[in-house]
Amino acid sequence: MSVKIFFGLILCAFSLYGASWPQPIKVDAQITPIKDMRDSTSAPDLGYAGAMLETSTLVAEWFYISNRVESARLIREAGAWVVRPWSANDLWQRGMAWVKTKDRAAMQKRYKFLPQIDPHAYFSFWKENGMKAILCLENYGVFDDVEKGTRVNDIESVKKVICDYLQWIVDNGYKECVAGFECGNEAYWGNNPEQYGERWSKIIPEMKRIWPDVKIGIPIAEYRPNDPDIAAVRARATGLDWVQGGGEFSFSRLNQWSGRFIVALSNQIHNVSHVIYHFYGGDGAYGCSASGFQRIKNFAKVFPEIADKRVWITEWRERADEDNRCHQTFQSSLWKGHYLLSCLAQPNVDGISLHNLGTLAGGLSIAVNGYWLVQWNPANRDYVDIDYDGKPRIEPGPSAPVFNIYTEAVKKHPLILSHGNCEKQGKDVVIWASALYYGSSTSQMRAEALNQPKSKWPKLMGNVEWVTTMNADKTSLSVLMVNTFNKKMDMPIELSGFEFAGEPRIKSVTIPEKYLYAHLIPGERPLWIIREEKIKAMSGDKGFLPISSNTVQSITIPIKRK
Amino acid sequence: MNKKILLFFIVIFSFSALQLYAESFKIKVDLDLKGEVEEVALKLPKGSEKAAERYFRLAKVTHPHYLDHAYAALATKQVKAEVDDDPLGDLDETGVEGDAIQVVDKDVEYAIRTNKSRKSYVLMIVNRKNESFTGNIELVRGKMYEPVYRRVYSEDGGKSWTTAAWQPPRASDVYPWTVEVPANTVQTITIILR
Repeated sequence: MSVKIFFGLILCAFSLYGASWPQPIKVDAQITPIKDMRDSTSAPDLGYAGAMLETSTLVAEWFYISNRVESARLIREAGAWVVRPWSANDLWQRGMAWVKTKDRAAMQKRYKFLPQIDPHAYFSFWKENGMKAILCLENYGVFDDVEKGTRVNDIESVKKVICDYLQWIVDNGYKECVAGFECGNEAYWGNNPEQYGERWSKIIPEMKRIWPDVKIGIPIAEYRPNDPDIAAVRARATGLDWVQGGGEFSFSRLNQWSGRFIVALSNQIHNVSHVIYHFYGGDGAYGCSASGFQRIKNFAKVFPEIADKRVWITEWRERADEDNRCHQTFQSSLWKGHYLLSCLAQPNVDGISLHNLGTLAGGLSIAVNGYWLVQWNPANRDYVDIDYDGKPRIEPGPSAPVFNIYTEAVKKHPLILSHGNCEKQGKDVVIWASALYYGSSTSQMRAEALNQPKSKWPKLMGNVEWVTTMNADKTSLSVLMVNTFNKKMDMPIELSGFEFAGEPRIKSVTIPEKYLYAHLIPGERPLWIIREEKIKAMSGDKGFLPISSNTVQSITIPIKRK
Repeated sequence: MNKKILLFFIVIFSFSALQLYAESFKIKVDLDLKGEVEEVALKLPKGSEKAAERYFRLAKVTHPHYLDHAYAALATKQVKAEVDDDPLGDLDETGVEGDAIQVVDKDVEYAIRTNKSRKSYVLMIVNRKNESFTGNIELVRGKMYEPVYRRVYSEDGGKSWTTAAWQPPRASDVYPWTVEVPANTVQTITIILR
């Protein structure tokens, strides 16, 4: 082979490679969807842990009683259609007592840091606004006398309270706003999975008797060495002797708990509809990445009795409690833009709840008594509310527009058709876009923190990731997209069996590059930019979808059959 | 290469270098000062007052102790010493070269406030010039967390003003510790000590 021909072939190969990038978005509207979100009781599935019922009576009443119109607007702006209150049965018991008590001051004093609110206030708000709640129940004990603060833990008392709670929901017509029940928050930190499973085995049949098609989820731990959530829980919890000091520790014991719990619950496993995971850590090794989906599959292989269960991820975040302020950066919003798409594309995953809705979690920021709340604040680094006027203030945080854009799209386009990104991916290749972006962008953030010149920053491994969705009557396509490159992209799109039939409408959120890694300060003018625009009408079955740098967006396009 | 093209590149390069270069001035922060100086009202650019006063009000509430005020010392110049006599008769006709003195620019000024515990402070900086600077903080004791910028700024030479508030990720134990003082800005920069 002559040298000329050799170099010619290399040039051709490069040209072909170049021509195939970015990979096109392919939509075949006739195929079976990855999933139909109308089948999910938690649709639109992308939501938050928490329900503005965690902070105080003041905030709960502000949100659910005195400012319901404003709260409904906040819910829309934060895309918070799915919420998840912790200890829902305790909350309900306190609320019912709060309504009846003749001495609210005494109750308020007793439960100073726990909200008291009439349960009708929040259930009716959820119902009016089309929201869904995953209610987290606890079976360790219940109030014997709420006003006195006494508790009992015998199984009959616990079962009665939980069943009374379900009956109250049914009797008051609130079933439609309950996605399902979570049987315990991270119960795997406890010591006795057999006893825990036995208690639920006695309660679950009664729940099913009251509400036969109720969705019930059980917690599963699937940790890995050095998982950030283990360190975070160890740091704040007492009594976890087996966690202390390394040694025999740790993730393996948590994982063993899950197996023992499944065995203990085996006579009721048929009544369980969902397994529940909590994932923390956005790096490739941890749960909030493709690794998490793999861990779900691996566990189902070992315990085939749960293989047919659907999945809720009722807590997730790229960092655990060691960095509660991570949500304040728009880099975090973009990472969520990736991760949410990868969850949407999992056929077995329903509701997923970002930890959390309130505090500086990116959903809604809450200012009380002149300060913007941080979930845990050991460094005393919360922010002052400059405009404090004696009342709580709540506003959307930097992740809110991402949830708003995605949920608006999937509420109207519940058929999830396809998922991909701009890189070459073989069939069934796990998508690592979120982890690659997370790892490389946090490396850049560290470089900026060390004042390194930009030319020496590690390479950013951005991507354009997308999910295509369609409405039920197949007249509208919505493409959910995130672009984490520092440049605008024009993504080619190809339809099969259909063609474009009108003007695409884009709703996007972006941020100037200089603020990408900065913490954004609540109470100030948002530095992210939300746009809604129409672009030139598309026709035929091919085209390009533009997306700006560092942007999350949905593009909704009318379509018709060929 | 054609000389004209070469000249063009030299001009472009020089212009870019000038653009990148921002003159700096030192900001000495001594949180142990008793704060006995009289409070000086910073002169706000026209149009920025409302937004700036909102930030200044916050600074006063959170950091009630006024510590210091200064104008930016932006340049040095050599001054000729004044010589009254020449007792030894050994000086030449040009006289003695004097000390280098710093020239303050009264269009760039700042004040420092601190809180009761003196573990946090606020720089209130006004730059009324059309030129950007950096401030090099010289902290007498302690290390700093990342600063919180609350900025009122104009990008059209003072015709209109807007605000931005953020906290960059830059760690404070990286020397030199600088803060941005862009053209036409009023800022409060809040820094908590480690």
